[in-house]
Amino acid sequence: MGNQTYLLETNGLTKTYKGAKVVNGLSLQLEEGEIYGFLGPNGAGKTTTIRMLLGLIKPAKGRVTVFGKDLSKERITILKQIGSLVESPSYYPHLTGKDNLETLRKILQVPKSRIAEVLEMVRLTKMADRKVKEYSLGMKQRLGLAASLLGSPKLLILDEPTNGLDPAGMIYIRELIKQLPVKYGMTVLLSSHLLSEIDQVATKVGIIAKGEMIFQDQIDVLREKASRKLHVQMNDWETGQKVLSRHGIETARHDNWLTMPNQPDGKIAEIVKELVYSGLDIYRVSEEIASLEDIFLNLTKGEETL
Amino acid sequence: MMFSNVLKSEWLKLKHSKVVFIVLASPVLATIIGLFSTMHVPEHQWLGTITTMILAHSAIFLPLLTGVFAALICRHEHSGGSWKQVLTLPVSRLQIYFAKFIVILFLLTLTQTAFLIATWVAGTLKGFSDPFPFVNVLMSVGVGWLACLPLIALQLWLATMLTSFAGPSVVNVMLTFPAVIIANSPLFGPLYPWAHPLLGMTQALSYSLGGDAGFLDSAVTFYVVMISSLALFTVVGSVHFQRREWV
Ligand SMILES: Nc1ncnc2c1ncn2[C@@H]1O[C@H](COP(=O)(O)OP(=O)(O)O)[C@@H](O)[C@H]1O
Ligand SMILES: [Mg+2]
Repeated sequence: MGNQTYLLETNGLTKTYKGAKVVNGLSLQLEEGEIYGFLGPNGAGKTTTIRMLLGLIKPAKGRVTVFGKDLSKERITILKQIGSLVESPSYYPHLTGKDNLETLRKILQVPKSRIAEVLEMVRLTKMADRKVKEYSLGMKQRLGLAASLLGSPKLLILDEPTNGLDPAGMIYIRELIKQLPVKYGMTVLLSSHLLSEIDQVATKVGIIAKGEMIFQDQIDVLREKASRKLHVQMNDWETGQKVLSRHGIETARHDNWLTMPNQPDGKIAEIVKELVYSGLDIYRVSEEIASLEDIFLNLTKGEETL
Repeated sequence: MMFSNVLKSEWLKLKHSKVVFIVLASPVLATIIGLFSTMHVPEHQWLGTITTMILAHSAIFLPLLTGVFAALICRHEHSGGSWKQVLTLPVSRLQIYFAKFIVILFLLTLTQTAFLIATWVAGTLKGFSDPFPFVNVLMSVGVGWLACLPLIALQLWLATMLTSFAGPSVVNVMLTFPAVIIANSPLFGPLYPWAHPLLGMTQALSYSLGGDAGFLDSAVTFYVVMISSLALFTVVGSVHFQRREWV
């Protein structure tokens, strides 16, 4: 039985291409009403994961549970309540924007008025009667987004939705996505290779690198990791490390610098006092503010263990 | 979800696709050829012209058309990357596959109907005074339609398997041209699907007139090959479509 509290859940999801595990044992949990930012560098396995979530490809191992149902058994029932946009936008170039949506509407059986609604949501109303081959890449992307919203889905899965948009379009789409849970009760999973994209809209983050989930938590937890670090330079780092370890502070060394998580003022004073009493010469005490971006880079390079 | 909705959706995709030109191309060409035909059959004013037209239509154009229709019906999913959109709709893959199949059958019906009209137009323009042999041409057109089914099943399989517009068409053209020669062999003709439209249409016309065009040793072989190849290509094509990975 899948955990009923999750809207979407994967367990040990794995996909192999030519012997290489491009998605490896991925466990992802998405709760109702969340905006889940699925973050990872290019080639990390985001699109491959999303294709498995939609049943476009079959996992080598693992399971996908959506709305408490097993995707491999109830794909069509599940897809009724999912809207998606995978990688490059899909479109029929010889048809107008409106007719493109009409090909989907005939199958989804939503009222005709819904087409005008979603076109308005992505600001394509003026282009509705133009053929899509005349659209810019950004317009095609917005049409794809309109298509994903057409069936008023419970769950929206968007793969790099701001690709190809100009900065103004990006800001607009970001704001639109932010409002979806509040206004329409949708849950959103969106992927990106840019932390800044995710940072501005997501409530939860999953970071994938080389096919593996290396971080998954509320975005605030990630932000905390961006908090300051303390660096202390001294003459004898080995002794210093022992002294600090006795006080329950684990440190990392770089040359004769010791690095530790930032501490409250009083604690810093105490640390310095202890080090001096132990006969060490303290050369410098400095703090470093890591940005979210640094953290993401470190995480995906695998230089830091969580 | 209703199958008819999937059909309507497929039909809408043909809008502005100029498919009508393809549907009418062969009947129009056959009309021109029919007008200049000098073939004359004693006792039967219409037969020479109709036979010429059937040969022109069924030997080359009809087998080629099956490939063109199949490629056309999958073309925009390939080029516009919309397989992934179609296949994440809440319908089974088989419904999508057979909706495409049926749209092709419909286009083929239009072509055959246009051809039937074309034979009447050609004869009328030539001032034939005998009554138009409607039933005989209808038989020929109908059996020709049936004879195209295995090719359509094969072409749809190829068109959904190879992700390009050109691939299946090239295969089809290469296999169509030998059809005229192979059709002349009473032994091999019935075994070769690309010869079937020609065999079917000529044979049906002559049977309906109480004769035998002499292309077939055995009508049974023809029908057995037709039905079994239709079944084979349909099953293989649709199973492949259902199982394949869509990336
Ligand atoms: N159909 C495929 N065949 C072989 N390798 C693939 C295929 N699809 C993706 N890959 C490989 O899997 C890895 C992950 O790709 P992808 O999921 O597209 O990454 P992302 O979307 O995170 O950029 C890449 O190394 C890519 O080359
Ligand atoms: Mg991708």
